[in-house]
Amino acid sequence: MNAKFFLFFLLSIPIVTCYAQVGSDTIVNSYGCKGQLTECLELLAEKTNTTFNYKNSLTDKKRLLLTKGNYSLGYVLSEIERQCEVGFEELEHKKILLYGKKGKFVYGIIRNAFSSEPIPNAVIKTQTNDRLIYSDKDGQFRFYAYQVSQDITIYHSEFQEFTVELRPEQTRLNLQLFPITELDSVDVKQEENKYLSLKPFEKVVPSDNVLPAPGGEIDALNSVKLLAGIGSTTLSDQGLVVRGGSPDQNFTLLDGIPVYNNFHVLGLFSIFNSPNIGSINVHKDAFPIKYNNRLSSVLEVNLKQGNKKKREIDADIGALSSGVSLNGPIVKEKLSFSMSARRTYADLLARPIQSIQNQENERINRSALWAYDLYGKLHWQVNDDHQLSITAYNGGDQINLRNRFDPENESQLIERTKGAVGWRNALAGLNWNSRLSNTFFWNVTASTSHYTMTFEDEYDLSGDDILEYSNATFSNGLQENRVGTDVEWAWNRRNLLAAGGGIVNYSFSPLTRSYSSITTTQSIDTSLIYDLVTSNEAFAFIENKSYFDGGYILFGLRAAFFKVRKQTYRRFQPKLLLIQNIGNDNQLKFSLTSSHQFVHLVPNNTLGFPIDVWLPVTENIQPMSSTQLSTRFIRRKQNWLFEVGVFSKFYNSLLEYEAGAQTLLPTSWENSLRAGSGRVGGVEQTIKYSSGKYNFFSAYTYARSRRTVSGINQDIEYFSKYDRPHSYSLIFEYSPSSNWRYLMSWNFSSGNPITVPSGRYVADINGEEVIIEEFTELNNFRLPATHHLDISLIKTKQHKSFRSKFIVGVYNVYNRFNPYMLFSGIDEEGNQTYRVRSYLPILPMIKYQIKL
Amino acid sequence: MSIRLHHIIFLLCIGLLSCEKDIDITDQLSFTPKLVLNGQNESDSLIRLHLNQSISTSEDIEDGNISGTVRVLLKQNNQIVFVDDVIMSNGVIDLPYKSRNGYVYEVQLNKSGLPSIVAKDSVPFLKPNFSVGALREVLDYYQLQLSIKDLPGENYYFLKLSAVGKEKVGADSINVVKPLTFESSDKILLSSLRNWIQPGTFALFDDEFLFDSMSTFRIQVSSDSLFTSSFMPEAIDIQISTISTPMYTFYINLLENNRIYGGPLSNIKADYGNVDQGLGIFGFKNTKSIRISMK
Repeated sequence: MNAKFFLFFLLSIPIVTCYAQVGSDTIVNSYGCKGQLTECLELLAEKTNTTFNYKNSLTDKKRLLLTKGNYSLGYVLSEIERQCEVGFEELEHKKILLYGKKGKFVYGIIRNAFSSEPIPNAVIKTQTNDRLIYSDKDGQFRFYAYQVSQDITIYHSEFQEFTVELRPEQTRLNLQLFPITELDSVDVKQEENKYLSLKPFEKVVPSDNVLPAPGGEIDALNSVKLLAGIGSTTLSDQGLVVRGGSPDQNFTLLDGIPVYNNFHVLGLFSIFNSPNIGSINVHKDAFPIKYNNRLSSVLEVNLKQGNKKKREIDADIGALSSGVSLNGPIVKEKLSFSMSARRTYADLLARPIQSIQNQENERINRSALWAYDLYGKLHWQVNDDHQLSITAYNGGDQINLRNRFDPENESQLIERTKGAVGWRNALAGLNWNSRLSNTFFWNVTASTSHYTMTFEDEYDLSGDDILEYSNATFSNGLQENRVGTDVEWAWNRRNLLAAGGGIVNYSFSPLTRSYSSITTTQSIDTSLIYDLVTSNEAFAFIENKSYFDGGYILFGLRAAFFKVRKQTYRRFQPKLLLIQNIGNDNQLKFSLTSSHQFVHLVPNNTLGFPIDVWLPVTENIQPMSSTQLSTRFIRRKQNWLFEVGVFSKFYNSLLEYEAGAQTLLPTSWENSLRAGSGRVGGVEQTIKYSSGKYNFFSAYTYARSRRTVSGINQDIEYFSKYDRPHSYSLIFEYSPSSNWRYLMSWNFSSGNPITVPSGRYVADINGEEVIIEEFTELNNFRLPATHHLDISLIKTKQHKSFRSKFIVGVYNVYNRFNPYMLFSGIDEEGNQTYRVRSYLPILPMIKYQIKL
Repeated sequence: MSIRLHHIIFLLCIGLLSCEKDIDITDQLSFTPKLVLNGQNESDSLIRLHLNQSISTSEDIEDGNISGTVRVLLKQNNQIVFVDDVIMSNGVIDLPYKSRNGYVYEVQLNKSGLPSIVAKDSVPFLKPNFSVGALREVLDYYQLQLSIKDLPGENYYFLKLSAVGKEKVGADSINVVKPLTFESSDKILLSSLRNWIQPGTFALFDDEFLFDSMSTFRIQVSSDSLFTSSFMPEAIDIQISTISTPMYTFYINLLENNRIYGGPLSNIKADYGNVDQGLGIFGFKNTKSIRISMK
């Protein structure tokens, strides 16, 4: 199927349709030319009886491509001007002077007029470019312009429309946009509707993200989950599943710093608190070559820089968490800071309830679940051409299950147990961004990212004269240090070259165990670290983007060298991306990419509390690789956007635990893994409608994810843990005014396969008969489908001294029992049964935010 | 705290409470019964095999008992030494052959209606070399010091304690041997980590921390587990066996998945033992036993 699409796409490239009305109204019937400009002009002169005066050197090596048709002379001349950089001037009737036109690159930056913060994803419309230009994460943009005066117009959904005149000698634009406050929204979508973006990725504007997560959390990744081909994991896994790939195949970057754990509260909401986020770009087709070291997607999340003019405070209070963020200038217009903190407080709220429950009991149970985020960023605008930013994040989750037996009889012993699981992320990075000229940008980045997961089991027995204490911990983690540099060079008006390289140092501790014990007879404290694996990666990349009429072709190559112990892996990753507009309303995209991944998150397929473990590539574990073919057709008509695409992906060296693996044995984790192949294929379809008051979004994905691993399931292909054939998201939004928004969303996902025992038997264990569960197949049971309907109301209000947002709603309106955890147990009649646990029944959503 | 605040907190907490529901999984699962072999034999002893069959998750565990005739083939160092139909008694088959140290045994079993099974293991050549220090009473514990000299090559060990004594049954007392619960926090026993967290009646360990030399470690037995109102111990038997790799793997896998079930390091296993086309274990151990008198 993909081959047909590819052929169809290649055939469609030469179709060029343009609209322009310049110059004379003389009609040139049946004119077309494909070749040397000189010959085309001779033919044009013959057909229009017009004389063209020009120097021979002007037309040397210049070619024109114009399909046969009836055109006005003005249109033909404007095409010659656009394609061949040849200007024209009518000297007298039927006599036209042709001359060389000089163009130049114009560089610009768009900032918020109130805060001087850069505005990403603003739309820039020029008079000489048919395509839309977007500002990048730093608010920067660049386009090629002839030395003529023209109007430049900027659109953004949150800012007032702005038009500025670009004078012929001008090569730089410093633009400031004013936010829309109580004014009626200038609908950027209306402007975008006229053109199709040539972006190879999906952009998510966090401020547009009005779909609250459970509890009313404003989650920047909540909108990402709704995109076609992207879904959530189940059974308390954390992460996104993109096109049937595992969560570790998504490369999440916070200001360019890799993040290894994106979600809080067992996947309930992400670590990205929306008020801090400037922009999110989601790449699932052709990944940015700079970050092409994951197999499924690249998620670029960029923090805001902070207000450079005045201090701002944002605060929110909600059912699950509360947070505060502060940003402002340190040196006005030069140096700004941004910091925020958020914590969930389910544990604090649950404490009085648990106290009531425990009042009459000798055995006291206390459980707590909490998460926190701390963000910080410094941004220094050194001058117009150089900027430096430093980003830091610390966050984590903790689940504590405590039990205390405190008998009334003082002669009895006091027994305490504690089970705890914790996840921690800590990262920091520096980014130096330089503009050496309007055509040459240079970036330098350095970052460090640390992730750990710790499981702790503690026992304490104490009395008058007996003391016994033991504590056992298991932990898994990694540290990644990264340095990189890259340049972007627009080497001519149609070509943009990007190149760069870097080195990464990884330090994995696949399994660390420690044990301490104090009894009346002895004391021991030991720590065992097995196989701390350090490795280094060096990478270099180059890619070129060549624009042509209504589209571009991008081709690139990334070379990566990964050294671990005595093994070096060399991997080359080619990339091809073609985007072609067909008229104003249709677009075709095609991409072919190859990717490799040097880190793995090995899934734990148990029924119980699942915790996955990060492991590195070693001499025994090959890097995972994938080749992806994807194509998409986009049609836009008035307020409607329709997208349909197919994709196909082939994996190698995917990992699964082998049957009979011994994960507790030291040094055995590598031997416990089996590598196999996989394939994923599917169809994605999106429909969007947007008008002033009504917005509608629908995304459907059909995808199958299969694996074949030697030694697993009799070597027969099976559906992976991330196979969810049907996924559907529907959002309906009604905004009667700029202050009120009503939202309704419905999400559906087929159940995914998990592994459950299919039988039981009796085994002899040290003379005792023990019932053992028999696992015959991996992923032999498909969970029920997950779906929920959410409704919410969002009211924003501008007060005298602050702006507020109130979110209220209901999550899972019809109280669907969605599976979250599955475990075996005994039913009321004493028979073995499997119980599915759900943590998210019908829930209130409530959040109140203020911005000072 | 006002009543209204209690209500608010209660409502907020509703969302945090979990709900549970039974689900029927049998419709989706395919199940084929297999023969289960429990054949853990001492060296220099007659070979005894216990047989049952696996059952689906919805069946009663008693449905796994089997009886009738089984076709048995036994090979010793690849030479057939026994082939015959054997009538089982309560699922037990006694073969008229003694296992010899260092020999390799293969057993093939065929029971009509079930896939035939094959299992193979070798008898550990050497007994463990260990000694036991004096039994010391410390508060409510008895402490034993064990010294073990690692054997050449790669070795796996199985430690087991039993109490020998008299148990009152009415007016009489009878001699009994009962498994004894013990614990240890020595890292030698790391591979059966369970013993660090909860007392058990056995422990497994490999030679990772023995370093080819004499090593000493301690184990503790609580007085409560040793003395009961009806049992008076006379001695403690300390048994250490050298066991084969399949036996060790079998036990470790079961410990991982059935005793710390659902823990972060547990993982599903299609097969724990060394029985081809079936389930269970066919293995040998070579045991040395030392008895410490309590008198």
